[in-house]
Amino acid sequence: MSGADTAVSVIFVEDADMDAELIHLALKRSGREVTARRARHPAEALDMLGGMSATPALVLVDLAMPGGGGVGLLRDIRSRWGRETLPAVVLSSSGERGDVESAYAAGASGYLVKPMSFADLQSMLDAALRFWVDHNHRP
Amino acid sequence: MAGAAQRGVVGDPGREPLRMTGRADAGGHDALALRELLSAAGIGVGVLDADLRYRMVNAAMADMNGVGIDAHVGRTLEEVIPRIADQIRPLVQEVLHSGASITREVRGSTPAAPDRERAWRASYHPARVGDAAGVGMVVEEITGMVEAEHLAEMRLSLLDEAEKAAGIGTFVHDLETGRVTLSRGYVTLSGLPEGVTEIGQDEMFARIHPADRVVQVGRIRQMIAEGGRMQARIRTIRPDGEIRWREVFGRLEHRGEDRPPRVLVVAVDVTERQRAEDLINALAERQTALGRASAVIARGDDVAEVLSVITRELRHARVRGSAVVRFDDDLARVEGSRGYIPVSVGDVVDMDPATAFAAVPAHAGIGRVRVRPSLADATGVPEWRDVEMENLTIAPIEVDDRVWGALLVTTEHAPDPLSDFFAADFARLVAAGIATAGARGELRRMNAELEDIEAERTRELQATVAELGAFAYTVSHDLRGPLRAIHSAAELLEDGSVDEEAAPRLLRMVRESAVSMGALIDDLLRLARLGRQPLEPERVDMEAVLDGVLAEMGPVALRRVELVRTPLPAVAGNPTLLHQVIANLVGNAVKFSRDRDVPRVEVGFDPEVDGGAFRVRDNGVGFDPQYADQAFGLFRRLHTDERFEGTGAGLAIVKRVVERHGGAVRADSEPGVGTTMTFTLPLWDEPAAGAGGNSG
Repeated sequence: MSGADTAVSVIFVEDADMDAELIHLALKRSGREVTARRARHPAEALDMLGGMSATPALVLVDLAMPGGGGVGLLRDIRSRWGRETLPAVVLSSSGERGDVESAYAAGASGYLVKPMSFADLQSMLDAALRFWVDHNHRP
Repeated sequence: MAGAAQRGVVGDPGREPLRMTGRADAGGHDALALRELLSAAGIGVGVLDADLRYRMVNAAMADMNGVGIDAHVGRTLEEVIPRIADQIRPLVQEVLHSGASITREVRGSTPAAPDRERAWRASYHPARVGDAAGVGMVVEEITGMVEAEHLAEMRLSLLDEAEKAAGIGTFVHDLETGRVTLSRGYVTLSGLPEGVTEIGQDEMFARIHPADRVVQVGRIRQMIAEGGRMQARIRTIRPDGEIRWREVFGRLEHRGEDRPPRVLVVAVDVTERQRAEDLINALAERQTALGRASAVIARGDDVAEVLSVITRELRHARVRGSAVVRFDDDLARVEGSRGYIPVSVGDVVDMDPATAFAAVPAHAGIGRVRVRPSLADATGVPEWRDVEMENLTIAPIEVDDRVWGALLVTTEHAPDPLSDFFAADFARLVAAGIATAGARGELRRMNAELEDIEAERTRELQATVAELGAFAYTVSHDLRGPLRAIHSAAELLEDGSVDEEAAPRLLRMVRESAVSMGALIDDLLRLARLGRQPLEPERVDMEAVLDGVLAEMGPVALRRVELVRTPLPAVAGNPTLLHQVIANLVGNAVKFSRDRDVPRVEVGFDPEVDGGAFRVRDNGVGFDPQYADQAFGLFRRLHTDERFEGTGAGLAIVKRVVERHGGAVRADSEPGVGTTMTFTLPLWDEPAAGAGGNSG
């Protein structure tokens, strides 16, 4: 499978509807074929991942979900898929050092802070896809 | 001159030898030799004829008279020794007349030394001068002896006076006869009748105080057996019953191997000294007791403990018993008591602060106090009883310029001159102790209160700080979401890159974001205001509150909801705030059970739970119980799913209000089954409904 031609499968885990809409829009505009699916909460995300025949190219995880759900989800993902296999990148409204540290400790592959500007969001996700998807698909 | 020992007058060795008068009728060499001998011995010899004229004298007599031997012959007594003739004439006449010898002491002066008082022992005997009767005279000068006797008598009399003045007496105990010869000083000392000069040894020993008798007899025995001297301080009893202290010094006087010795004793009355020593010891003990009590007072901070220790210290100062009485409203109550003082703690004493110290301090040989047990201890009406105490001293205890109470002290001995000061000193100490302990206790209480307040404030502060921290975190999150949406939507609309169907959706995003930010801000304000609203509790009928909330929610929201309610009691609180609590909880319950086929909400009150608790139960999605604590954290939402709209401030508000009312709230849930919110509030104290109900 070569990179740019095939649809890239992305799952994003986001509880807030408005943010979910913006992420979806940004991914769609990324300049490559992206199939983005949204999970509302960690349980749903795990179900999705479990039910997929092929692992997605990238999982985006919002941290600010109730009961530390984001960090828990990272751990659950890591317990089943390694970093090489499934990049899980945090996409959070918080840039707090404590959150960053817990995310990495739980196995996050990267940490992105949601920007105010849509344009910034779009280029951020673009870069993420380039890095993680292209990186993972070595020729 | 009874009891006189043999004494002789030695002749003057410088005299010239006896001169013969030439009258030879004295007869022969033997007679001459005898007269010479007598003269040499200082014994005057003379003869008077029937006319009582001197017929012959020897040299010694001539010397005594101070007249020459020849000058005597033929002269009368009056002519030779005019000053003493009147003493002698009746004597010689008697001898002449009765023919019996007479011996007498003669005192006076003779021409030998006209200014000097002398004394002679003269004996007169019938004599024959030729055929006629006469009187023979034998005279011995005893002037020195008499003077010595006189001196001895003077000395004895001085000694008696000295003994009396010094409170000393002496006696000689003859162990052979068992008699004791007493000096006049001793007689005075021991209170025996004047004129008594001796008593038996049994009576002597009987005078010793029974407590000291056996030991003293032992001492004497030991002295007799081992020799040496004896010194002891013993008590004796005078005939009138008075007890006096004696220091006795004794030694033995031996008189031969086979005869028991005599015991010579000097007895000194040391009663005053002993009393002074006792007083000094008592003072020293009292000072020590005062010192120790002071130390306790310096440390004490509990009035009861101070009183207990003080009465205990008093015990050491030769005080038989002590009690502290406190004047409380109209009663005088025993607060502490120790040792022999027949009142108990709690007893009521008939003592009036105004009159109890008419003579301050007051003491009595026998003190009488009226006492009764306290009402609490008595069965039936407690009776007054009179309590008599020997050697009772009462001193006032003054604290803060008023008479706080009284100190009662009974002593072993009659109150001595300094008892009053001692009792007053101790009473002052007790007062100081009470004041200090009271102040300390007060200080301690205030400190404890301050510490409690400080701890409370610190807790509040920490809670506030924590809340602020959470607040800052979640506000940033909860505001950023809508802001991001607004920003991004505006961006997309501005650059015109959206298609027609996207635009209305984006605009709706903007509006909804604005609304949610507005709601967040409102909640923030409400929460802030909560802290500053004074809670003025009034009677709040929770049934009415629930009715109000349900009416407010409206029939639409409650459509399909199965509402179960049980009677709710009235509480003491703020109706507006409590309305918010019910509105939040019922609102949540309805909201979270919305997805069920049959949403069920229960509102009730259970008197058995937590001493009486309200509950709001729903059969909604529930939450993970391990996150129950977070439920009430500011803005922590357990379901941030925006299907369940509303900010997370609701539960924080509920918690804040309930706790301000003095209650507590908790959340229990089983995911997928339901949630129960339980909270307590102070119930309104309803007066008994109708007559015949129980009071209280």
